[in-house]
Amino acid sequence: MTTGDPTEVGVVFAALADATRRDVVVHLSSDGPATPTQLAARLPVTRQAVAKHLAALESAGLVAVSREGREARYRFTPEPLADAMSWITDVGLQWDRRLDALRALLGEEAG
Amino acid sequence: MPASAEVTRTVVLPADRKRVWDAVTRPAPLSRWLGAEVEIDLRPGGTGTVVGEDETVRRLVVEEVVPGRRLTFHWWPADREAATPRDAGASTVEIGLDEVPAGTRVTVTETAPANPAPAAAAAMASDAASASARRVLLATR
Repeated sequence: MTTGDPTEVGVVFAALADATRRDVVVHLSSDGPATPTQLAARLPVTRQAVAKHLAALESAGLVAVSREGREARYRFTPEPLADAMSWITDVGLQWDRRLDALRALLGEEAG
Repeated sequence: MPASAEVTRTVVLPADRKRVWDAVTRPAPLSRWLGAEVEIDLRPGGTGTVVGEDETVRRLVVEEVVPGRRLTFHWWPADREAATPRDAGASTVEIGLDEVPAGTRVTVTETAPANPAPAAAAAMASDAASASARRVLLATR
């Protein structure tokens, strides 16, 4: 993804707007890969709810799943988050530059 | 963390609101700060083009014009062929003006779309589908 493609950035932020999904990401990133059952034991939500949140995170590219025996194991995949942060940084820098130019323009007209 | 990816910048400029409004809506001054070459049809649904200093070309569609107060538009890179701004993954820019003792406060917010456009969703779904296909292949190997 490039910084000119905000769609996936928006999807990442929408996925992380939910507090439980953020908790899931925090657990996966600090404790390593886990199954929905393991996550449900650590979080105040049901296994079914965890599975739903994991599906949302997976569609945003924030977790990846692998099958181990009967259960799915999820791991945190941070790339989309890094892309989202660089979109924020790049777009912010672009507006800083534009607003500096606007300030210079208005100063010029006044003087 | 905000529910959507958004960037906000606020500056106070030593000029009255009318001058700032002119500078943020007329093509000539816009071509001095928003980009190197800006065309805009300033009415809801009006279209425009912004050629950046770095020669990137963006298309825009005006969403809302509140004279002297607020301009909202959607913009996206021109090289992205799509039927609608939403399909192109357009981000939304709102430029708001407020009078303050020192002049005019300009607040700019650029927001990334919170839901994938149909085209992007299809691409992501097909990525997911090929990822599942790979997993199945690996599992059955």
